[in-house]
Amino acid sequence: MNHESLTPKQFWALSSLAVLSPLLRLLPGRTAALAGGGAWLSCLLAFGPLALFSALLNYVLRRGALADGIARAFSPRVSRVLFAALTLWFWLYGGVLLRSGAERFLTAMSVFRGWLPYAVLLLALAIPAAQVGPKPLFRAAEIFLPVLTAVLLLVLLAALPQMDWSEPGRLPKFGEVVHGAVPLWNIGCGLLFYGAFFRRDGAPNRKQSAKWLLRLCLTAAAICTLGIGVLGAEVTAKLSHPFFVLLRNLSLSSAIERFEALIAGLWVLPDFAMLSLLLLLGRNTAGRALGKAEKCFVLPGAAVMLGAAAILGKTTFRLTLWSEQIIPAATLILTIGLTLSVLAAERLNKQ
Amino acid sequence: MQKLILMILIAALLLSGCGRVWAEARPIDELVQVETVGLDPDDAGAALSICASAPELRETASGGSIRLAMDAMEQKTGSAGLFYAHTKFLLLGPGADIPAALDFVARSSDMRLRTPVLLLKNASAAEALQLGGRETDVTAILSALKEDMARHGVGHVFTCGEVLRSLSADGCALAAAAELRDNTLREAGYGILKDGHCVGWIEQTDAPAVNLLLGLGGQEDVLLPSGATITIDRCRRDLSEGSVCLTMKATLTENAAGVNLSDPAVRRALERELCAEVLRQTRNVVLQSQTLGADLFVVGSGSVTITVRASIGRSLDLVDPIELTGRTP
Repeated sequence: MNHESLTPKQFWALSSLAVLSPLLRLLPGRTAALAGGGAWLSCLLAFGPLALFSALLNYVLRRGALADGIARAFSPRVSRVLFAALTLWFWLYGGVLLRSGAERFLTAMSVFRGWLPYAVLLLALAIPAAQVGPKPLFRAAEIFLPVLTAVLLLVLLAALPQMDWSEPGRLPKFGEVVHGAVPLWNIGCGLLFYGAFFRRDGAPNRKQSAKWLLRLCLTAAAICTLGIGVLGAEVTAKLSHPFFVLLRNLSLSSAIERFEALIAGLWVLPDFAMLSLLLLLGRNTAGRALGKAEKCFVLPGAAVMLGAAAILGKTTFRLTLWSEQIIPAATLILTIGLTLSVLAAERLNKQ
Repeated sequence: MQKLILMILIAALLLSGCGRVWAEARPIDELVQVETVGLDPDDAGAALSICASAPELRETASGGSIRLAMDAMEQKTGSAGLFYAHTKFLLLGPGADIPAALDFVARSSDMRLRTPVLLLKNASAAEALQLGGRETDVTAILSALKEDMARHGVGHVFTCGEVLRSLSADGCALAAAAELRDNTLREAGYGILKDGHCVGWIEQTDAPAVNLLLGLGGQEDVLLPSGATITIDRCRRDLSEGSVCLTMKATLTENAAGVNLSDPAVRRALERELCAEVLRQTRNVVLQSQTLGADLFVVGSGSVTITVRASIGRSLDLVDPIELTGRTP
């Protein structure tokens, strides 16, 4: 993948932008369901395992991007199979992302009657971005990230007056708090892993990874604290999109109200970043698996994503199963499993 | 890249619902902005009443569910422009299906969980929504009532979200109650909700204790049997299983009894009187919630020790009553 001109700043900007997509799909609802009022503590606890995974990944990446590492560690045939499996994974995940993004618009604002217009519109934006290559996407992320950060801060500040501080204080058993860390753990591992396909030797370094992870955990903790403080842990756990319900109930000094549509509209940006990233990754791994030019895999990738969105999201209940159970579990297994496998294969090759 | 950014921003705007403007736009004077929604039980299922001020509209429609009643309302009023996004109050008449109402608000993309909700004790929501004349309507009456309750610490209007949060977390909740009196709505204590239904009431005379127990703020005025009116400025509460401790700082605001506050013994007697009154209200409230099996204040279901301390720190603005006795020449 051509990533010679990517700066670390651009790299972390895209990671930060893309992470907001799964972050607000799973948090604070999923974390509240697992850890109740202690969801914020779970987010802080997730930092430890994430930092460990980041250190492991940094070690694997010491000699180049992850795709090169896989190619070096395994035989050409095994590598091709792994790249084909990864391609399918990226496209499948893209399908779930498309469908759950559309579902968010449907339930939060009833903008469309069906999911297809959203999916088509988002793909229409992501396809050209993925065909051009990573540079414009990363540059765009650098521009969009401050906008999203400002919006997120504004939302969190506006929610403060409605907080019931006793809610986040209702801590469950320690085991439940640890269990609550799993959603953020898989989100962080996923983004670190996907980003590893764009990294060069030694950059971005360990310190930058740790800083990014700390910011991620603190942001997640703030979202959980405010979500649970305003809606209560039980209600948060029951809602499909608690963050957007929180938005609907915000008001800035009673002067500005009902700005959830605008903010939910802006949440197209993280979805776009994540989808473009998956299309880029899919074209890279498909190219390596089949030994063809990468560009020709963008359109087939988009078609598979659209098909996956149609099949996996036939009902919202099935979509929830994929989005909240299967994808997170598979992400953890894939990211940690493949990283450890590359490391083990490298060791074996040395011996 | 500039083209890409522009395309994404346009898409964001279209997806936010701005695209619908072309299809569904209508002039603002045709839009009926619903301000108060009332729900009553009905043979059909639910009776929905609405009150809007501009243009003025008060109407009731029934349906098998709240959603169907809304559709019936649109047919009845001949308006597809009923706009519920800025609903200011939700009124629930006696026997209204509270879980259905809260579930509806939580799912609705128009109504908000922060909408204040009131239970009506002696009138249906449809009746209450007919209150007021040309100058004022039920929304204005409810706004004044809500502010008044908060300012004087005699009640608190919880939002749908707060009620839902308590019901989900503790299985019980309080909701402000109102009653129809003298052709207007007055505060009437609280309704106790358990398993989604109203199982009992806290009378208005005891309602100030709820504000003290929940730390809801407001300056509560207490008329003591001696005739003095005391305003509780601050109250520190300490609640735990089997124990309630309230420590209050108060001000004498009306000295109809003519007590001499510079005398420490008199002041202490007044403080004792205040403690006894607050203790009475608190005991009633705790007992009522325990009897109904609703642990509203997280003090448990067993015996509860209630401790009330009060200090009257100042007097507005006279320390001692003005002597009104005199001599004839």
